[in-house]
Amino acid sequence: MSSYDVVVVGSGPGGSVTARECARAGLRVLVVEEGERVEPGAVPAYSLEQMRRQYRNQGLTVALGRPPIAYTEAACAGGGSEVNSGLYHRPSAELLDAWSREHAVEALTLPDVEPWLGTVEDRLQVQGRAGELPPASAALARGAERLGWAGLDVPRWAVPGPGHPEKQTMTRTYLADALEAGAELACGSRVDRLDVHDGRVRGVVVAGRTVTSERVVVAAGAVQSPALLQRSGVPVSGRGLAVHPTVKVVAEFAEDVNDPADLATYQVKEFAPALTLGGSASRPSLIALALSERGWSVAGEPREAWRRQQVYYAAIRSRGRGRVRSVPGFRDPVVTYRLTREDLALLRSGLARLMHLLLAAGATRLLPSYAGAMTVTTNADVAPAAAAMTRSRAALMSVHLTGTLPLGERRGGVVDSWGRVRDVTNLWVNDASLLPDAPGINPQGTLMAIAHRNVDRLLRGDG
Amino acid sequence: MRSGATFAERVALACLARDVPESSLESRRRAAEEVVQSLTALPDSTRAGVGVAGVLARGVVGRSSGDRLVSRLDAAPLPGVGEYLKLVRSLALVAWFEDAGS
Repeated sequence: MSSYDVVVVGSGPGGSVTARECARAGLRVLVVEEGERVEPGAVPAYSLEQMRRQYRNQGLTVALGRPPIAYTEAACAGGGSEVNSGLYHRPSAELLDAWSREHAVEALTLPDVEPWLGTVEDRLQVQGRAGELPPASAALARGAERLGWAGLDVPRWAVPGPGHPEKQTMTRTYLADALEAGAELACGSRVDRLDVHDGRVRGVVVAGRTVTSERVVVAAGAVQSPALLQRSGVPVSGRGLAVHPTVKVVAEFAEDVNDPADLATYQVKEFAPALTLGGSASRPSLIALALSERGWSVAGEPREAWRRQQVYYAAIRSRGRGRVRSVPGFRDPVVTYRLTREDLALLRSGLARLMHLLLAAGATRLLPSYAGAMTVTTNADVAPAAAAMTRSRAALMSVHLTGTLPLGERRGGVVDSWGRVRDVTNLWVNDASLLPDAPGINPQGTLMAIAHRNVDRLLRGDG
Repeated sequence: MRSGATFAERVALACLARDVPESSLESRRRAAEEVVQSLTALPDSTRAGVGVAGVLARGVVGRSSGDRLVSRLDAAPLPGVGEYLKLVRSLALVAWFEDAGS
């Protein structure tokens, strides 16, 4: 490592888009990645081994609050694309208009972003499923049909593979393209801080040594990006963290539904964007985890019952917000989240709707994943089971983290409409931090299109 | 960290003996070792909090073991002790099912 035109911090979707476009423009690019490189398929999906090798803190991260919200961040080459579900949504015109209006963002309407969405969809080979839904998805579709609720089998950035779809992760696509175009990738390298002086960044400090660069693009995710800016003396409050708080239910059916290597891709969108119902990873260990969260004994469960069980979720758009704070002497930032009263009410409502859906789908037993939850077998059980999920009993999680460095021209904002940091002329942010809010959909497609838009501006020298 | 690690292993072994009584002692030991490894991977602030909760929990259980140890932690009115039990139990179950139960 020596001197570069562009150093990109983080190799997830935002960082990989940035690196590819800069490398293809002929710039000398270094991508600095804290995690290791794990080839796709080298570790079982959703396994403990994957948590160990591809997640930050082995996936044991939590936003403190009442209730606390468990969240996960990838820490590996390719970032979240290597470990997530690979589901793809286009953002709606309404969503982008609302962000444009509320955050005074330039050129963020759907027509502005659409060309970049097309570029992403082409490269990632976004496509719908051919053939029948697998059992875990079919159950959701069946329940939705019986209740007259809208839903869809969500397209994926994946191609048919032997057995399971082959996700077109960053290491297979954009990051591979970047490396082919001459970018360098330094894995296992943590950026301690940015070297910022007199309103300019001179490079990044890794293991006490400065790697100099004409420009630095931070793409370390909605928690690590603001934390890195804070460690570097850039005035960043870290407020605005937005997530999709999620509650889970283990559903048991009379027949086998569980595919431990994949998850349900069908989502019920009847109540979207406020509420989405869908399926989660359901390895036996994850079912045991969901059951333990309700304080329920797994001792009496037949050992093979997991084949008939599947974890489903209700995820909401939240009015609450969180904060990321870098604390001197601590390596990891402190993350907090304040769930509002309205959020809790929406989660209860979502939990109830999810249970009605699963019963309509033919589930014989439902085990909501919160402390002390009752077992639900009939529709009459649903209301009391949902009402009993109080703040102190709730066991919530989230995987979509956004909002800590929202783009826009609002006064006091850290970055402008294109991700450039206002107080540091040659420093950009280009990841999910920029999304002003958790969008109510899987956000990777949206953030990649915005990343394309931003790096195009950077390369044209207008940023 | 060693005495804390030993205590976490004790709690994990007691939880697993209750949750998966048919499991072998060897498989429970392997899972308990995984729990200790997971606890060391926690973010700084969480690890500090869990460390304090572990000290409180150790005071609660004294020399008890097995079911009695789990019951005492479960019933303890001290803040953080219930969460400590929940965390160790969750980690132990995940590790055991990944190793032996799948």
